[in-house]
Amino acid sequence: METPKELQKTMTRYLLGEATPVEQEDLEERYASDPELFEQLVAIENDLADRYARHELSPAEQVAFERHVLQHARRRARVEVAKTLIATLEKTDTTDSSLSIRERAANWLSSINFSWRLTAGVAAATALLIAGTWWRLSLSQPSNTIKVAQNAGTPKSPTPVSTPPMQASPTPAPSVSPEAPIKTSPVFVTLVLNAGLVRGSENAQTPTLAIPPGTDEVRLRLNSDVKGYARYRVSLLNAEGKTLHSIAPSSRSGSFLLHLPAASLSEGEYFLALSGIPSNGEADALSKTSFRVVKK
Amino acid sequence: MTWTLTEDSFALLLKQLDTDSERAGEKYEDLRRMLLRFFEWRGASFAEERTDETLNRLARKLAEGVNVLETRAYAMQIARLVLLEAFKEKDARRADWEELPQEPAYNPQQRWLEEKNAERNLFCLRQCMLKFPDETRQLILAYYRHSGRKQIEHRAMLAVKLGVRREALANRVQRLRDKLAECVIHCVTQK
Repeated sequence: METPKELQKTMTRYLLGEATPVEQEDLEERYASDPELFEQLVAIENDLADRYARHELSPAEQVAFERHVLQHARRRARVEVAKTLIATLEKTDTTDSSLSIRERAANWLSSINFSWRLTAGVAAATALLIAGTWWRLSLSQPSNTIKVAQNAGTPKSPTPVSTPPMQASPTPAPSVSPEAPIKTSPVFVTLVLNAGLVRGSENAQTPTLAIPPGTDEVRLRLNSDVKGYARYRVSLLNAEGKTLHSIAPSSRSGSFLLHLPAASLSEGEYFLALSGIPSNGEADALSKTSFRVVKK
Repeated sequence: MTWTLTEDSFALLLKQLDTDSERAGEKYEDLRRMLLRFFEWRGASFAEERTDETLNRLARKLAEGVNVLETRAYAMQIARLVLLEAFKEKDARRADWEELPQEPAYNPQQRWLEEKNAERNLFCLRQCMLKFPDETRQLILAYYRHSGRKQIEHRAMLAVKLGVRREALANRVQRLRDKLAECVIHCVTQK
């Protein structure tokens, strides 16, 4: 006789595409005959989507979720709904936890024009802007070749090294003027931030990242002195508190690097949030460091 | 000759689900929701079309006089056949299939591309929430607050406050969430 916990595990495996064919058929027969069981499955599915949106899935669950759930357009759309709902709820929760549900609902509806109030301090954030870490080499590679490769999702070099001209271009290289400057490596700017571990200082100046025209990539380096966690997660949040990008770096302490397409950042205020994840337990919020993006 | 769903055969399907027409309508929606999820969970493309195909076949069987005792279980058997056919069709016509619009592959490294749609999603979510009565909006917002243990405690308190069982509350909110998701999916595809 299976326990409720075992059943829940089987249902989770089913939803993540990891159940055996026998388990699949058995569960399908059961939830077809038992609407309550079907609702339990939907609840687990929603819970998985919510935990994904909150970055609370275990690494194994996250891999399975991205491999199975996000491959399906309709399920992906449901996850998008979860992410939007969660981000908005978290935002209204952060605004004022003393509000009633009714006031929260009213706030939520006006949140499209919500102006984020900085509640988490950015006291120790000092910025070293390595602006204009330009990478513009004028070699013999046509620029549209690079664009083709980037559109195809070719990963960019994680370190600022000059890459050789690409050889396996799917398109023939058009003739170019020898005077024309042509990019062979991504043009990037880097902002180095020190994780704000002290909260509450309102006098700290917000570090600013200036993105010149033609920049391909932004590299955000977050330095921190935290130690002792099994894993870490660095998330980029917009001014409204919505997570735009998140990484779980292999580094166990010290310095974390986030690569982003420059086009994905518009002008405005952003935050880099650092969380520590113990081997057994929920993630701890360690720091939230603000910075500003301006486009030249 | 291709069989098509008629008004009479649809009425027969509803009657099979419940003799009370209002309850039959609700049960039809429940059945459709279950089948749609089945195809989604099994990773079938065009889940809505396959759900409709399953319901059509069920209506046809009833119109032909088949005695169905457990409608949902019987519908599930048909759905499995539809799914198998879909997979076989995919294997047999893989070359042709690849020409068809497929579910776009998800690449975690390209996640930022989806984030560009965040504003549109937020706009649609807001529009869809506005379609709900005030009380319903409050319920959804209250239900999805918090995470982990705090969420469990909060939901239990909410159920007590509303005077319903936790399971009943969960079912109600899940249906609302499904409606919300369908509305948002429709909204973002229209924009």
